[in-house]
Amino acid sequence: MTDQATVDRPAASAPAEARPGALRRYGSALWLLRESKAAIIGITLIAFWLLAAVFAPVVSPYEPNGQDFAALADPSPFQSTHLLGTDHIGRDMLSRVLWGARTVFTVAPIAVIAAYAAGIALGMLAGYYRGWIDTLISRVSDIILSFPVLILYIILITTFDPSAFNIVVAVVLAFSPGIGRIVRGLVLELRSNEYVSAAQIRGESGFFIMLVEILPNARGPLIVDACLRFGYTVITIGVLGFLGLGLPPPDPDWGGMVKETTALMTIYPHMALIPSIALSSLVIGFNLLADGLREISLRD
Amino acid sequence: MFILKRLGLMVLTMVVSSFLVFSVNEFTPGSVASKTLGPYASDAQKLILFERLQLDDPFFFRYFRWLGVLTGVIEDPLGDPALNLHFTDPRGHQYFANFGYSTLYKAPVNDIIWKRLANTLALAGIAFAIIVPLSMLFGILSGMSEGSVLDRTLSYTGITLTSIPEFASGVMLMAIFVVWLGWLPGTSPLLELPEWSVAEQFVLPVLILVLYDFGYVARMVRGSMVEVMTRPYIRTAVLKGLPYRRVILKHGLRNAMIAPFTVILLQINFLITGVVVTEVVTGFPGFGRMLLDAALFGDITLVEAATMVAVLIAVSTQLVGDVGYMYLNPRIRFT
Repeated sequence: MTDQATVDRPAASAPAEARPGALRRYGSALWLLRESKAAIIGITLIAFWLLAAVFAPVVSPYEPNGQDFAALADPSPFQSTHLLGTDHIGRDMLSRVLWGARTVFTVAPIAVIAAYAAGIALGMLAGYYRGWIDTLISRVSDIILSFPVLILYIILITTFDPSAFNIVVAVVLAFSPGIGRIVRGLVLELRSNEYVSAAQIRGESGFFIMLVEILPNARGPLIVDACLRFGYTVITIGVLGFLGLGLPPPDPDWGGMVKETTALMTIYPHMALIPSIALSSLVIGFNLLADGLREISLRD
Repeated sequence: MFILKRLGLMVLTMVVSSFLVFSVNEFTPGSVASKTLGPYASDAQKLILFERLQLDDPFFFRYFRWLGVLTGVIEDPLGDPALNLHFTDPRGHQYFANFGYSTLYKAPVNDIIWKRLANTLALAGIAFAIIVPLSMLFGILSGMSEGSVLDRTLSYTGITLTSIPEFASGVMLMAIFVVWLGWLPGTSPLLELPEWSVAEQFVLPVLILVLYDFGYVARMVRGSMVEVMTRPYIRTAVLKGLPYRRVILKHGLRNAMIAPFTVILLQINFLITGVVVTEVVTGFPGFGRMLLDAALFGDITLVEAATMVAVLIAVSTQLVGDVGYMYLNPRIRFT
């Protein structure tokens, strides 16, 4: 993935003709992925759920919160009326699982992007300026990282009430120190490059150098890490839902669906199993993709 | 010198976390009185408590008073019989590590927290005793022959297992072993049930933890082993005619164990403070579930106490990890 030698790139002023367009570059990056079976399976799983999220209103046979009281007598799956059965209060499982993908694909990207924005800012400041700002950021990160994550989530969300916004805040708080640490390491490595000194001599501002000269060259490892964190955020959203700290009902949320129906495990296991499998398959997708990406980046 | 510095950092972490936990829980003084008294308290009762706890004092005063009670410097104001809270602690109202009185369990925090922690320690201990040898064995075997069938199988099994959150694997395992086969109990209250012994109640939570954590640790060990096997000293050892067994055991293993050592130690931390989900899904009466129940109920005393204990465990394992790392890796010891 280090195909771009940015050394001879004339700052960011003119998009050099020799450089292929963005579409071509990302297209070829995707094309590279075909060599890794893991990455293909990963992308397929992610794409499946992404499509489910996008087209949930079109493809789901019922309203996700609508109740079918006739189905309460026999909620079991594989029936002509309800393909995956219904839940403990007669809501269609298939529709709820599809709509649940929407919840995941709205909250998780926001959380991961926000955590990355904060983490990159912290890591860049610490790695580029060094000195007291580095000491301060690193110490505070150490303290947050040594705090048990799950307990952090529980305290924050029980105090400030469960909501999508608070889940995002909690994830940002828990993830950004770790991201910052990785970015800091990459910046320390990259700042000794000639193109950084060249930019410094040109008189570019620190802000410009960090964003335009250093960040694009640190993207390889960060993309792999982002993939892993995406999967982990999906787990986190599920876990919070399961613990009763997720999004408020009745809107479908995979973790919350499991929480509501585990008590019925011995009679109707499908109610808790289906969302569990949905969530796990999506996380497996992200982790396989991360593994494939890492494999390919090591090969080049 | 290094250890002293780490100890200082550990104390600093404890102080900062205690401050954060206190401020998150007790920033608004009014909520402290109503949470302590529960939902059915009258306004008059709240007012009495409010005055007795001097809740309109500045925030920092209250924080230091809380620290004072915790360290046994001052007496716990809740122990005042005039408050009619029936707060009775056999240890008295002024001693070191006085965590106060839990409103959820209606008992001194010290009566509850250690019992719960002991349960979790038993669970974590058994899981740890299985995870470490198992993941080391598979990690080393697959790291020795990178790219082999065993290596690839382990790699993908590991990814899959770590991707399944504990509540999902709990549900899947229950579907198989509880609902379908009927081999295991569905809940683990750790009481002598007519059909299930306490030992059988441990199986499911341990299994969930092992499945979730094994793949991760094994992959760490594997990665380190792969890296060590490409080092020049391994090649030298092979080329000078040492038997392969000896190369692996003497040259490979010791060096390959340095990096995963910290990872393995951090699993203790995870197994004690991160098992909330496993405890909830199996109904295991452990430390994590107690913390969750306390937080959902609004039992701030117990939340604060449990958080402090959890942070203490976390920073101690990190300290042990750093010292052990230093001991294992001579390059760090002498710089």
